[in-house]
Amino acid sequence: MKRIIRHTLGISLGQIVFATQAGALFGYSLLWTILLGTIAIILYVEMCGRVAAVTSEAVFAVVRSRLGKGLGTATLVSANLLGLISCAAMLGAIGIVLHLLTGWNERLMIVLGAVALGALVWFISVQWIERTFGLLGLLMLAFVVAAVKVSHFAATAPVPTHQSLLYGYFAVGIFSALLMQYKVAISGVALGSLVTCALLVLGAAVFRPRGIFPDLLSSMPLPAALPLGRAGLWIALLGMLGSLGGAAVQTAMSVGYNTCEFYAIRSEAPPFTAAWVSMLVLATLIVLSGVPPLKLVHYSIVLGMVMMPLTYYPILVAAGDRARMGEHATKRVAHALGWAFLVLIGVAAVCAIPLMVLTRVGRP
Amino acid sequence: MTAVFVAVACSGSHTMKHEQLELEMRQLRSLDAEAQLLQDVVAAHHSKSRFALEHARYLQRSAREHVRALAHAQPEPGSEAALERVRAAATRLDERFVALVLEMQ
Repeated sequence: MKRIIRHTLGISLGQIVFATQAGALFGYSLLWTILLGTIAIILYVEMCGRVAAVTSEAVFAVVRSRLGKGLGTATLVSANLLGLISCAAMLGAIGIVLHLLTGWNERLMIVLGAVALGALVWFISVQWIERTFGLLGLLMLAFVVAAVKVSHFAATAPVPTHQSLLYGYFAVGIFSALLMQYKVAISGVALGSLVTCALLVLGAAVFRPRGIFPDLLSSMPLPAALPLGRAGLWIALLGMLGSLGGAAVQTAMSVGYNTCEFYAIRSEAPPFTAAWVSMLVLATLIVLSGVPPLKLVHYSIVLGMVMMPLTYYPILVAAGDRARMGEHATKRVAHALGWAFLVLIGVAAVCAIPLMVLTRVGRP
Repeated sequence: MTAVFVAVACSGSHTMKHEQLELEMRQLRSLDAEAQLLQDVVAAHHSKSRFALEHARYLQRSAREHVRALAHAQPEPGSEAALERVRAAATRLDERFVALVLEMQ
């Protein structure tokens, strides 16, 4: 049960938005990207865990040792910038969900949400934070139930040529959204992928036939209300709140972890606290400036894809290093698969920004 | 990279090309269909909720943004009539959403 709870934290705003919008635009035809992303992240998470267990080195310690100080620092700065944008998107989304639940002022809800998350991290142990958000996040399974009730798998029509760039953008987006949940356990990845599939199915079955492109966060839980009614809607909203809260905490803390890992600082030290507190404050200010969270999430997913090779490559090399890993080095077939995914990630990283520009950030 | 993001974010132009007008029209139709979906959900479950009201308000806000953007837009030569049609559709949608918000209260 603990493992399941830990891994509901693997559902991020990127997965919610990209899967629902992709379903609304292309029906079921992008389900393959979820499978591909799930395999890639499972490989990555397994390698990270194995390297940490054998060499006691966390991801950004490996990044520094394998990429060198210059490129390593650039990767750290990019990762922290990505964390800031993602955290801002998450806080904005939390404000919207709280507003939908209570009707209170959205900006006030953003500030209250950020303060509540900060207080949780400050006063409560990480285990209890994981349990709280994990349990709430499990309510996202309402989307799976709703998807089963509304789905009607039909043959997917071929994607029109003029929409092939958009198709590519959403394929890269879903792939990236799944890869960005690297701080989670494998059980959580599987659960997150199941919910992502459900969101895509709901987009395809509810939004697509009506010609709706869901461009508001408040649109995302609507498909759950169709088969499950008011109770289903509330459960879905609470599930979103739990997932987003967990992801926001995780993102804010990841900046502290990344920095401390990179510079080999003990995680209890003041720099860690300063990093996550300043992350929450900056993210709150960004989202209060009025940038829509759904815009931010598109930028964060693209930036995440661009920099993914810089964290994937060092881990792949470190995990396969027989001199350091000994008998725990990656086996030949798994290593070849890892390299194949690195090539795929590289291609997606190169295409991400051009696709974003050419599709005007995913506008149909 | 930051420069690219900023450039994309600020790329909105006051002159609307024909394809931008088509995009606007598609977005307006999408909002309209979503309002219908919301009404269907409320009717199917015989329940108005805080969510329905707030979602209707978000839809209304979105339609207002379209009305505002279109009011300041300049048409490309030859697209004057198309711009007027999109403006009229946005205004109608905004009026529909005013009624929708009242209905959801």
